[in-house]
Amino acid sequence: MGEEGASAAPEPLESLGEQFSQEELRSSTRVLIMLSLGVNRRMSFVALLRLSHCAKGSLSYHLKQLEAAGLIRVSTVFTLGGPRVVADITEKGRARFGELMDELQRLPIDHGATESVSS
Amino acid sequence: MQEDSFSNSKEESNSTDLRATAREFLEFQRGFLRRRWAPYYSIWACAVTAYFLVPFVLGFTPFSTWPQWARLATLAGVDLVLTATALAITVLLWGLAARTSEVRDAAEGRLSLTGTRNLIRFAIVLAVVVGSIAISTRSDFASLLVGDTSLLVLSLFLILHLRRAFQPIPFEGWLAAASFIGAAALSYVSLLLLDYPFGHVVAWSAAIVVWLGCAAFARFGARDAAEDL
Repeated sequence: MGEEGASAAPEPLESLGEQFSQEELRSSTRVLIMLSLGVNRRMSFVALLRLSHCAKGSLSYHLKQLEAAGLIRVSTVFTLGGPRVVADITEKGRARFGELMDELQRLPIDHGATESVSS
Repeated sequence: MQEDSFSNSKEESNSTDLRATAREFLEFQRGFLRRRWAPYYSIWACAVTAYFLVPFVLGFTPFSTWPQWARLATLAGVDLVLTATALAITVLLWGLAARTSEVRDAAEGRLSLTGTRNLIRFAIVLAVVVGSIAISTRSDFASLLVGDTSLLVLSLFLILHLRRAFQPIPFEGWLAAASFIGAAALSYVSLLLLDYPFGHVVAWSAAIVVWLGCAAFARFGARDAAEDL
């Protein structure tokens, strides 16, 4: 069982490498946006700014990249508080989110990385 | 050969990046979810008000002189609209909690229990529908006991989903769950041992006030707390 896990370990890493080699997911900010939209389905531009800690122009660039790849759809909606720019995940985006989740699930657990990230 | 080793190290780096990104997302999601639970607390406070308090208050008004069928139809209509709205918000929000939990499980290398999600949804809908129908009849103690029990079941599901969404459960989540369980327990005592309906009404009034307070805190107070994390 343990040996199987050890021998299977490189496979998800290779697959993950392929995912990251795709232009739209080459940036960790875009992966972060995809994870968040995969879970929340729709988020406002302001919420995405808080999530990514990007400048407005930088976030717009990342959203355009994702929209050009067909993973999200950016639109303006009218609310009681005025017009709001929102991003919705598309069907293709959901599929890509599912692939990201699969990769995340299949990654070998690295407790050292856990500690370094949390610290 | 050199290229291979570079490629491998890049993939290792990507795996760390993906995990770190998932954790960064989960930190943000905690504050984001807290605000999104505010409508949940509010709508259930309104629904419980309609279930228990409105009929009690209307009992002192000319409404009590209406024909019985008209009274029941009016109350059942109000219950139906509020229950449907509350259920829609509940299913949406608990789906969100489940997806957040899946990311957390994946980031921590745990097995995710997604297969149980539909079963839990079905159980929630069944508990609420049976309970609201029972409350709608308002004919005897038994129907109110069924209603109390269904709300108790709902509060246990609430704790389950708060755990899935947050880990650890935020302050207002514990308060909401505890007030619901406390109200159901007091309501049982009131129905079985004390004079109905005063204790019953007091217990659920307190829970409603607490839930509205939780909604206000989740919407406005939790924002700063989440940003300080």
